[in-house]
Amino acid sequence: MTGWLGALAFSAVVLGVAMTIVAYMTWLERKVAARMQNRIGPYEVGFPHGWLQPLADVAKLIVKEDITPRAADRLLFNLGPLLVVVPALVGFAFVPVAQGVAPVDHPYSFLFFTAFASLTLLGVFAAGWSSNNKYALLSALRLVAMVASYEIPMIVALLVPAVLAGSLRLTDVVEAQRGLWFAAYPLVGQASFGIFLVCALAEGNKSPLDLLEAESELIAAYNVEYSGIKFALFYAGEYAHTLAICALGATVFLGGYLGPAPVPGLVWLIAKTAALFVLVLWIRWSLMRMRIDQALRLNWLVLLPASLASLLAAAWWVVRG
Amino acid sequence: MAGLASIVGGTLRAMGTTLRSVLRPATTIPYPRRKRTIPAQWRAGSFALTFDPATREENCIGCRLCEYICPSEIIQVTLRKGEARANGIGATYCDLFTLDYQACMQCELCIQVCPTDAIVMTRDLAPAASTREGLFLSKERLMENGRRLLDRPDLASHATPTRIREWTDPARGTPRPEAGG
Repeated sequence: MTGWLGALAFSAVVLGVAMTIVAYMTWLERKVAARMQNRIGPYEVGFPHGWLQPLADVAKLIVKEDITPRAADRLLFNLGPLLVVVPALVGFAFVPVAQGVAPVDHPYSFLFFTAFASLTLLGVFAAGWSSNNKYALLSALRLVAMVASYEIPMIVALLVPAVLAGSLRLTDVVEAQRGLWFAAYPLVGQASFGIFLVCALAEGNKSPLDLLEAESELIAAYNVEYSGIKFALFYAGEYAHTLAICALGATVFLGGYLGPAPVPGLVWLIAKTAALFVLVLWIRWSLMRMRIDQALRLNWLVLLPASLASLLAAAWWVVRG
Repeated sequence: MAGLASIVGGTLRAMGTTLRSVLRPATTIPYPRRKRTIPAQWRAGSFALTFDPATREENCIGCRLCEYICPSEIIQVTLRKGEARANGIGATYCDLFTLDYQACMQCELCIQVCPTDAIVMTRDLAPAASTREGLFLSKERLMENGRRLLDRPDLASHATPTRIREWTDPARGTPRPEAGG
């Protein structure tokens, strides 16, 4: 990179590509959901199979009126969407794409990734609080209850690969899986991967743990007062977040860019991320929404003890050699 | 532990259900591009006043039975006397025949009561219109539909009185056809 200008141009290109991918994730989700419900899904806009539908949706949301309610806290209300999208996108910068190569290769990149992934919580809570709407506030409070709880077993489960690899650098974690993917480690790997998946559903607001957007109880969600491009940013942020979590799962559990030689590592990484994303969609469109007490009981009584146990087992495994 | 097993088992069962759904062809179809075959017993189409294929004369004799039986009272017929026809059906016609499709409930009673198989339903999708007048079927529009049926008699509705008579007494006519087609 040649100075600031080059860095800016690089970021602009990456951002454009990332947002386009995120837009097409909505298309993928609608297609998968439709097929699971015996429907066809988007079809006419961009015949066949509606491949222009995401662009049409974005264009529609951009030209829609951008409303800020009079009673809203203007600063937080306008900051909310950005606080959701930016951390979710920053997370991608830490994902390694080849041996020793990541856009940002930091000794603690694993830690940074999870930290940024959790930051979206702030944006959502800012949106729910500043909307000055009781449904938005209730939704935001649910989100805090959910994400603050599910964050703990998720981080503990993510520590298992870090302990097994002996490093918090994501490139090292991937290299440590050259022999065997961490998800394939007997018992420890499967337990932590499973816990991670459930927590990823909760973090990404995907059913059955999408309590904060229970339409029948909360109208829409924390974004009930948002319209136009700000609403689109929330939507994009949600998908970017889910995609980032899937990329993280593919990296630390499924060997990231590792794969048989003729296919480049980046393709492997994308394929694994996409497979995890489809798995998340599959679970989402198969299950009903849980109640908040059921979700929290699952977290505190099942996931947290199980994640701690698998972390201890992993530590024991490493110490014993 | 048993609770956890039921959660995992239930999740897998639900995912199996959705997977089977994915592997099945979709129930919905992209409508204007692909259309379903309309079953023979279809009774949600438009209406037509038929003609005698041999003489090309209209079948309606203006008897007003359809007007009397229509539960929605949307049919209006006025009778006109004329000379005897070549097909010997009668010497009366309908002068005015209007059917206000807006309130039609597709009960098919008008068709079943018609003594000369003059009014039939067409086997197409229910007509849509952007104005109230667009759903108002005048005699001209009904006869235009009927002219189309001269070339495609299979597009006429099934339960005309003649056919009903044939079904109830198979010895006198063709047996009842199977559904579909």
